[in-house]
Amino acid sequence: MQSEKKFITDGIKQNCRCDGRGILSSRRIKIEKGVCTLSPGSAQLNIELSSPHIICGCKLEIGVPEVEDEGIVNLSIELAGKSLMTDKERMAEVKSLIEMLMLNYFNKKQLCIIPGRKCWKLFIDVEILDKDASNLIEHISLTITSALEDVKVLATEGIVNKNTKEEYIEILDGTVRINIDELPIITTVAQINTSSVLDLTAEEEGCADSLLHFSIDKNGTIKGIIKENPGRLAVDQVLSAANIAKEVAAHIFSDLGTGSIKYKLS
Amino acid sequence: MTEEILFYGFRQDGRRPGELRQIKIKLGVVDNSSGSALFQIGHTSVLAFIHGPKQTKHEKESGHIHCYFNTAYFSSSGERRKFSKGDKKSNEFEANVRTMFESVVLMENNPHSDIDIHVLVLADDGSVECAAINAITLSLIHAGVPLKDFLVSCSSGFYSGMPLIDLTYSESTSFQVISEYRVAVLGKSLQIAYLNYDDIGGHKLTPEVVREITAMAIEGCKQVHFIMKQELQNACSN
Repeated sequence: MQSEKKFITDGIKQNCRCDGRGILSSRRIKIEKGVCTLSPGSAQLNIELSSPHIICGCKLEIGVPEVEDEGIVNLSIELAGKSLMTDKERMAEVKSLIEMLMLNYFNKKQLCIIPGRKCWKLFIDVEILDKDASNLIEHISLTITSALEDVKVLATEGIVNKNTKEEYIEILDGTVRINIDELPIITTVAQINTSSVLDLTAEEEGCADSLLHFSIDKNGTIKGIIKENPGRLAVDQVLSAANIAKEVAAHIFSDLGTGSIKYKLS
Repeated sequence: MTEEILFYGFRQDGRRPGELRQIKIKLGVVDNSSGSALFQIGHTSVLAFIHGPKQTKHEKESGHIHCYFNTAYFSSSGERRKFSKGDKKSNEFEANVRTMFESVVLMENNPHSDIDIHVLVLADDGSVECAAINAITLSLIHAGVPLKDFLVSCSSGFYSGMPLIDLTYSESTSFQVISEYRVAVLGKSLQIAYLNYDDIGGHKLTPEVVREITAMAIEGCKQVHFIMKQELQNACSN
């Protein structure tokens, strides 16, 4: 184990990785929309030359709001197949990270139908097929973004009868898309031996001193930073990592519509 | 739901009573597993993957088959599902799969080894369990596990004197249809390996009806077997 770790970290010092990439380039990701025909919005993410490893589906229901003029967004992340206790804990961690960095910035007001009475409940369910999936948080955030882009909500109009205080929901023609302009995506920059590395594989993730998750929106503003793993960082490292993350996010946002993402920074 | 089940001899989706939905098969869908397959029939799509044969934890005479049946929350055609695993129906199915496949897999060729079968339902538009059985067979073949024969499955129902094959969700939940009658047979000998019937409409089955819908389901199994065999040959020749 130690020798493998040394092999990987020494390679990264020389800007060379096991799969032939440089430290600041990614694998090609392909995102397909509308794979699950029975959910209003879905997306699946493949990494080049391998199988789909994340599938995300959305469901919409009508419910009672918790906050007066806001809808409800519910996220669940599951590992397909047998999941051990450690896997469940890891998934709970990932879920809280995604909620903190990404879904807190979702504009929930657009899901409101009748303030205080009826709203849309948006369920985002993520299934992870690959047990040893790496760079999970970035990939999940991209899959969720694509799935939300795919969601079609029925156009509705809430009517409250003034005399009897009864409420009706009238279904109009056509569908509405969810507005995700403000929704940030998450990019992960890892620190291995004081150098920043992008898009880690599972083996490299074991060598990472620290993982920095940046949530960045379309305008390039950083909305949140969370650090994982016990490594220590200098202030300059964080700043340079933030610059890298911003460049990566710009690349991703420009490629997200085409469904095929690959970035390489110099 | 008062939709017409049969309308001038055609069903809701335009099929005839003895017609299957379109079947799509993909092998090798999940990396990091010994074998995997995606089985799609109409809108129903089920993914199965195998881990193993691998060493048992306990030293025993022979190995075992374990099945883990998950249903994605977004799979249902109506509301979102409340549970993804561990409900009564999936526990029952897991036990059935274990007994069914222990009779088909040549366990004596892999002594002291376990096989883990994982099933994930991605979309549920009726006949999920039949699709799951077919997907498991394909993934076992893809994993190279020695089998006695194909285990293929098909569902059937009965509506106003007419047996129907491969029910959709709206047909199998309709009170007018006797459903869902699931049969799994061995591909070559057409011996019945699994038979399951749970009715929601409170219908009573007569022996004549049972004979008729079993024959219909076996006819469907034959067709499914033919398609599966063809797909596997295509996959192997490429």
